Amino acid sequence: MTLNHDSPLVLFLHDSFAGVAMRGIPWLFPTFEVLHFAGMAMLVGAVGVIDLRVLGFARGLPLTALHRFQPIGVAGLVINIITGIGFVATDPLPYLMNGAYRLKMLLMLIAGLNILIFYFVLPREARQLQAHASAPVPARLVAAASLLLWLSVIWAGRFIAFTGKNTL
Amino acid sequence: MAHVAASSTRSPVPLRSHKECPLQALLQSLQESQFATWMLESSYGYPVILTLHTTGLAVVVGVLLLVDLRVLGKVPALPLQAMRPLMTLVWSAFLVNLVTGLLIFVSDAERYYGSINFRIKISAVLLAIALAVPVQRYLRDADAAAVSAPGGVRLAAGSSIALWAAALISGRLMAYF
Repeated sequence: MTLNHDSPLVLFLHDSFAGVAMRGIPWLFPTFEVLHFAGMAMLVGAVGVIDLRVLGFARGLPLTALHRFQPIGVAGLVINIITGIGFVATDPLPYLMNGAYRLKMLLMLIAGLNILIFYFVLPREARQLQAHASAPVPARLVAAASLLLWLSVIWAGRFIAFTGKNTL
Repeated sequence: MAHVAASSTRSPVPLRSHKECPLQALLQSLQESQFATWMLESSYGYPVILTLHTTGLAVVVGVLLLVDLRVLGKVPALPLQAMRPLMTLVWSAFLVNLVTGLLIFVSDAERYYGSINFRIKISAVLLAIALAVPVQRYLRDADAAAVSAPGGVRLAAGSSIALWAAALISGRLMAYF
């Protein structure tokens, strides 16, 4: 899909409140970058530890209790969606045309569907492991996919700065 | 002035004299090394090493945040002893970031050394790492029935969160000044 400066999506993002604010307030972009990294750590920490426990790491931790950390992961994701929209709205075209950016969005979509599978398709027992209990194979597959997907999101995100022009 | 004149006879274009400042000389020789040149000129060296450093940051800060929160009394249903494997994960990721961080530093040593944000970041990281030691010891030694950690350990866990936030902020802002 090729876009140019007159494409409706590009114009919409560029002229949006987010775009105007990001370009108009000089300290906003660096502040959003800091928040984006903090959100990444929160998301990867909370989701990653749950995934690792399902895979059999730190088996002494009951998964039911570990799920209490979920709000940290959700907060991280929300922070990163808001700040991420800010980055793109600053100068939409180079991001929307960037291969690493497109790959990152695709990976996030798959990671999101993977979370839905974990919570709505797998049986409840898979989410309620007691200490030292082993997860069934389908839950392990979902956890392994989650770990790999979120790490790939970081890797693709990092490469947005290196594969394009005018992207950070 | 005499030694400047003498050295200029050896080298047609005299660089800065390093006699007064061995540190300056070290930083320059680091960033003029073959490795530094490869980092700056190769199309994948810097991106791959920076990506590893970013991944390590997410693991160190994200996982340690959960450990620190547990020590501060959140989610008491998580047994302290059972949190210990998470520290192995944190130390492994920290090792990755120590190595990749050194490689990134070497590639542009003088600039990083002179950056105020770099100095703040390194100070915050060193302090935060020192505070991880009493936190880890508490996970090992704590009574399984312990409801709340001693004041000193709680202070270490709380400061750890604040220091990693400071390290993350100054580290990110190194790109700006």
